[in-house]
Amino acid sequence: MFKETLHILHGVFLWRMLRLKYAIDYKKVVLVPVNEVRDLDYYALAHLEDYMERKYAKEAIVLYEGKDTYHLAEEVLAEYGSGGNKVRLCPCDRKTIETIYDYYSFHKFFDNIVFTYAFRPEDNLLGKVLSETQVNEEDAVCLGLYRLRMVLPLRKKDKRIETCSTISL
Amino acid sequence: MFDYQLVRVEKKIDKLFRQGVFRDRKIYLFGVSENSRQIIQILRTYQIEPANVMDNDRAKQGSYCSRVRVVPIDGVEDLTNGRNLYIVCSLYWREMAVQLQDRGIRKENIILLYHVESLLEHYRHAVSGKRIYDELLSKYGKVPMFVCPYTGTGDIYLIGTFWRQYLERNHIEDYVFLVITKACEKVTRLFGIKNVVVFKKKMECACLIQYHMLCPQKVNITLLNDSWYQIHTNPLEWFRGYKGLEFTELFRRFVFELPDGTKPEHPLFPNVDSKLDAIFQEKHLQAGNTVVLSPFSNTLADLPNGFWVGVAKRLQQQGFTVCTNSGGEAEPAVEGTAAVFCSLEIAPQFVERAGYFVGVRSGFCDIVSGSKAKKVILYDARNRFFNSSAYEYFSLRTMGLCKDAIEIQFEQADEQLQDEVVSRLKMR
Repeated sequence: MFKETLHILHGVFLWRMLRLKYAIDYKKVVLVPVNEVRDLDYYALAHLEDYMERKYAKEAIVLYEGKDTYHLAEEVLAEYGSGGNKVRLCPCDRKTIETIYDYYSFHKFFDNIVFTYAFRPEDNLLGKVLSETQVNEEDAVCLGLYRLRMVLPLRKKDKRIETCSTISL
Repeated sequence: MFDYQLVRVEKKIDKLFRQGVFRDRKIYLFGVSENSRQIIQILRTYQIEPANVMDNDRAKQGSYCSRVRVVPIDGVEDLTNGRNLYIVCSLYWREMAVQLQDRGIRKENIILLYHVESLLEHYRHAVSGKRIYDELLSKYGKVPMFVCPYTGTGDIYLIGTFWRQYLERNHIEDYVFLVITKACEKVTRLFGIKNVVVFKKKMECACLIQYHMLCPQKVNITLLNDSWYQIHTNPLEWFRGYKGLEFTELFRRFVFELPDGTKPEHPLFPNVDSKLDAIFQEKHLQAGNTVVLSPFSNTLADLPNGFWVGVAKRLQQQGFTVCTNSGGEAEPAVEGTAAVFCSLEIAPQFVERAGYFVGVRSGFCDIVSGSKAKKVILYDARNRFFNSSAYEYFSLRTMGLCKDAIEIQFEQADEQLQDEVVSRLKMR
């Protein structure tokens, strides 16, 4: 238990750093496309505006790791935008994302954050739903991750994207 | 809400009541949920009847939550009237509060009863959970532990219908089965589930789960639920009723991982004639000519009391004896009927001997679904459960629990429905 406690405390520290760095509060939402199921990341980005609307947020922070995810985010946001709301693409290393997610899995520290993990932790059955039922990735994002209560049609709108410099934590 | 959360809410309401906050106020609750139902029950103990429950879900609007009418926010008359009080007790309290404030409702007219637990509280729970886990390990050894963290007896019944097949398939011989209420324990007895432990406090169950969330690799527990809200990283509940994912199917696939085509199995009901004789004699009930009414539901919509009184009268006029499955003061018998507190472990046999059953859809319906009585089950057509209607999700026929039940979806709990219930029950 000691080891797990230290790990969680590490997550607390990393999240606090991120929160300070990006001034994260309840006027913002945070999306973490984790590059585990690519289509989940795609639809999470494409429906980001719907999520922001549900959360009454004015700004979104997209924490990404690696060029693939960055390019995907750029491409999807260019197509579907964020309804004129500000979206910041901010790099974050994998280890940091994983540690923060482990902390999140123990304690839901922020209501406006969404990770696109489908198989982590073991209790998360999203991946199983995707592989064994007719639920598709867009359904999974709208209903399961964003809890929009329905699968909304995608809308193409203006965007405002900013990119952040690499962070070191 | 777990019991410790409920106690906290009860204390807050009591304090507000003593301060006179509710005096001459119109009370509105936000969100049709178990929390709202519990708060309505608490308010009623102070003789406070909420005016409405508000909900954004159009499918829920117009229905009832614990007999209180559900309306959209903008359906509240004079929304910004200073005499209105809005109670919010939901995980989504932030969005709810913003919606109310955006409509000009002042902060002081919004009562937030939802308590956001801190990291420290969760950690303390996990530490308590470790102690509980260690105690269970020392008593039962390193065996799989199955946890049912809910009060729903229907859920336990469904678990029971797959239990034998699950154990066989996974070659499990020894285990511990953890439940949080005595009622749930009674349902496990129907299926001969062994090593059943009832937590002294429901909170202990929450602590054990929190420990599992801290040390998932070390803690060998399995939650017997498709999606339990405490495990917030599992979003499965949001697919309930979506693309054919109904109750039984979710349990079969995601709780038990049993192959397609596996059917739920009713237990073999032991002979409890001597117990039944005593009840039938004491309550002057006639075997084969008694209708058991079951008017209470925790999860789904209730029917107004007047409806049941009407049904009981009509049945009596037709020569039936009528009794109510009553859980005591909180669940009193329908006027003019005998109150029967039937222990869940003999409920199927009791209903079978009575011959007839009329109930609003509840966990009790699952428990008596295997009895050979003639059963009428009522579903409010406007009652939604996640992505489907309550009927689509909980239909006993769809769930594979029984083929002979007469399941009626109703729009209005009126005299026409009363007549329909009686005529369907009499139909051979």
